[in-house]
Amino acid sequence: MKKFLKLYSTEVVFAFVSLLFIILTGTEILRPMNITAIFLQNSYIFILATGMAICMTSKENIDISIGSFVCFICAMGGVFMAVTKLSTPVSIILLFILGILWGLLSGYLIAYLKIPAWVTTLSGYLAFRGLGVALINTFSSTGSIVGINESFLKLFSGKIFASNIDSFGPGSLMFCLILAILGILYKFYSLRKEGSRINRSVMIGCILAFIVMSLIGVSFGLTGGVPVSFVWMFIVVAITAIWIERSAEGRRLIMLGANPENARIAGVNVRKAMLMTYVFMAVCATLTGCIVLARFHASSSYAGVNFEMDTIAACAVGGVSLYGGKQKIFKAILGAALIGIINLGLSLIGVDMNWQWIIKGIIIVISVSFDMYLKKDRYE
Amino acid sequence: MKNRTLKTSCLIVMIMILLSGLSGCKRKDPNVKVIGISAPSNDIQRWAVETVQMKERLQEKGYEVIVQYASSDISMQISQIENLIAKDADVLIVIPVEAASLGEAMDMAIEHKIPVISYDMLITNTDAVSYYTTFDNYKVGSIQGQYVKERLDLDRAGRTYNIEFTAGDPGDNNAGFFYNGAVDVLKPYLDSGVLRIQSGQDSFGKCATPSWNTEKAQQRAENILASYYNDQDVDIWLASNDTTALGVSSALAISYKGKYPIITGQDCTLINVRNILDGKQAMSVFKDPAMLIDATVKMVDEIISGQPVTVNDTKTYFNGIKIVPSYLCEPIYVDKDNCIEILTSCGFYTIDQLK
Repeated sequence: MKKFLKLYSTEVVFAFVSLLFIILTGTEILRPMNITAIFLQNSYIFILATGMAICMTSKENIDISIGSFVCFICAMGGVFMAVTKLSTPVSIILLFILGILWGLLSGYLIAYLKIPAWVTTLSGYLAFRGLGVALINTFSSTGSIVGINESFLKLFSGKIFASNIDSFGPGSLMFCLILAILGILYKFYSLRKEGSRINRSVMIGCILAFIVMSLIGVSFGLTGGVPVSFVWMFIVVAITAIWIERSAEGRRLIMLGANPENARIAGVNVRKAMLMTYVFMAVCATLTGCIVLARFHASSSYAGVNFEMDTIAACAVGGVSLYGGKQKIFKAILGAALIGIINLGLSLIGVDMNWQWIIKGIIIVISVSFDMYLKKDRYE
Repeated sequence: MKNRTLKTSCLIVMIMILLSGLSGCKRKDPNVKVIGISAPSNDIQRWAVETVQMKERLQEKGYEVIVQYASSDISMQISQIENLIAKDADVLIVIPVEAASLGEAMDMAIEHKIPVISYDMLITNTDAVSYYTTFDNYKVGSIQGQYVKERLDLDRAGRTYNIEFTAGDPGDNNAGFFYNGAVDVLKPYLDSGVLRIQSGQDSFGKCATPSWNTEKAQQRAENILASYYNDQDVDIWLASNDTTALGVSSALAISYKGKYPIITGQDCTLINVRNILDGKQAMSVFKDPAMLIDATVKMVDEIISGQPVTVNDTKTYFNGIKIVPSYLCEPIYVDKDNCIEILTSCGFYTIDQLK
């Protein structure tokens, strides 16, 4: 029993909190439109938590600049597309160049100059919020820049396999089932490469994944299509998981996470690996910025507020900082889904905003304490 | 063995939970119409009070009302509007945190064919807005101009009067309406020379006050007083609202020795109403929130019952995509003689507050 809980503590917390909100909302949270909302409204947490899970691999690494950086990217996107009238592809390329530059700068300061991560990224947190708001105020007198390219909006927001909301769109279900099957095949393939057997718990996991994905597909089909942000989220998670498990760099990161000293002795360039994680985090934040810009249809100074907090919370309940293994990405995703369910559930119940924060705080501290309690012997 | 049982039972429970999602179909009683209200924050007193009053009024009429506050966060407001739609709202009343950024939530309202009423702040950058209820902002300015005209009887003035303007926030869509409303009434007298702007600052851009900020209005007034009114009187100071009027009256108190001018205002902020009673401000335009709530509730009724919706303006409010049919409520003015009666009889202030 304890062994099971220890292995699957995040899953247990997830199931418990989900059940709690299913009861509290009177199963309302399970309506197709609300299942869709979990992904539509919280795609930013999923993408950022993936980046953050990589970033937080090794001790004392964290990036709290991401929310402000999202605001900055939104502002720059507005400047590129609405003010200077650049084309969509050029704007996107420029935005990602900005993202990579910030990743290199912060990563260099942290990994090479040994400036503590929270100091460096706190500076980013302050500076990018200021910069973003200043940019928007410079180019607009109304607090937002409007006139974002239509093709940009199509690429980062809206639905694919769009169907009428009054009927069922089979395309969405097919799409999700294909994703599920690809995911399961990849899992089998990687197990085979490692020479492990496909045991019962793997089978159960695969069946569950398949059921979950088909339910998500049905929900999307009933609510007018697959949200584009869900597709981006899936791409980020898939690429990250494959990159971490398959590439040499990814393996170095896992080693670094498990034990930095051993990694150094084994010849891993720790500083370079650390730099890479910040670049990756910044790229995730840039993508999030694009998605938020498209969701707002305008550059707003309100973009990205508290994103870093939801992301770190997702990683915390996902137990990211407690692991050094490769399950981390999955755990971070589960953590992100959990925060998404809490956000949606509290909104559906109609809890006052201030109480939403209080309840969120309590759920996070309980779930992390539960996790720590179970793993106590392992870490002492 | 025990472990396996546990796993299997967990699996079964999870599958059952997930499957029940499929059965989550429409749950509401089709006879009860749902009205969703999305407001920026309940920390802002005005929205807190007005949304609660609106909710009570709608509930009396038999609607189910859901109010959500976004704590001044646009992402949160977008999600909340989406969730209101998911709760099968039949009509949405939205006060945007930021006018142009409700993007995907408005797209979803269009997709679900849900009418959106923009309450007092016009939602821009989308064609999802069905109606707009607000006060007649042009009229606010006209009333200020008219007040000045009548107080000084400009048609039969035997002398010239000096006037200065202090306008509102260039970022606020309504500030231009206030300014133009006032200037349009006074234009003939400015042209004929009955009114003279000594500072020469005679356009909205020159008179604007960023963010309606009191200190900025005061700074500008002090500069004008120092440069132009050392040896002559300023007779009228047309301020677009109360926060800027407050800045002007503070500047006058510090750096002006001449005859006290007529100062206009808007909103009946408590401190300004006290100034009116003390003679430091001549008037303020009063926009009774009860009127706006009445108009909005009536509009909801008309939409739900399928009647034609009463609007009284179909050409003024362009939101960047379309002209939004609007219902404009009539503002009135209060001055020293009538302010206590008007403001206390509708419950806007109590007698004690004004003493």
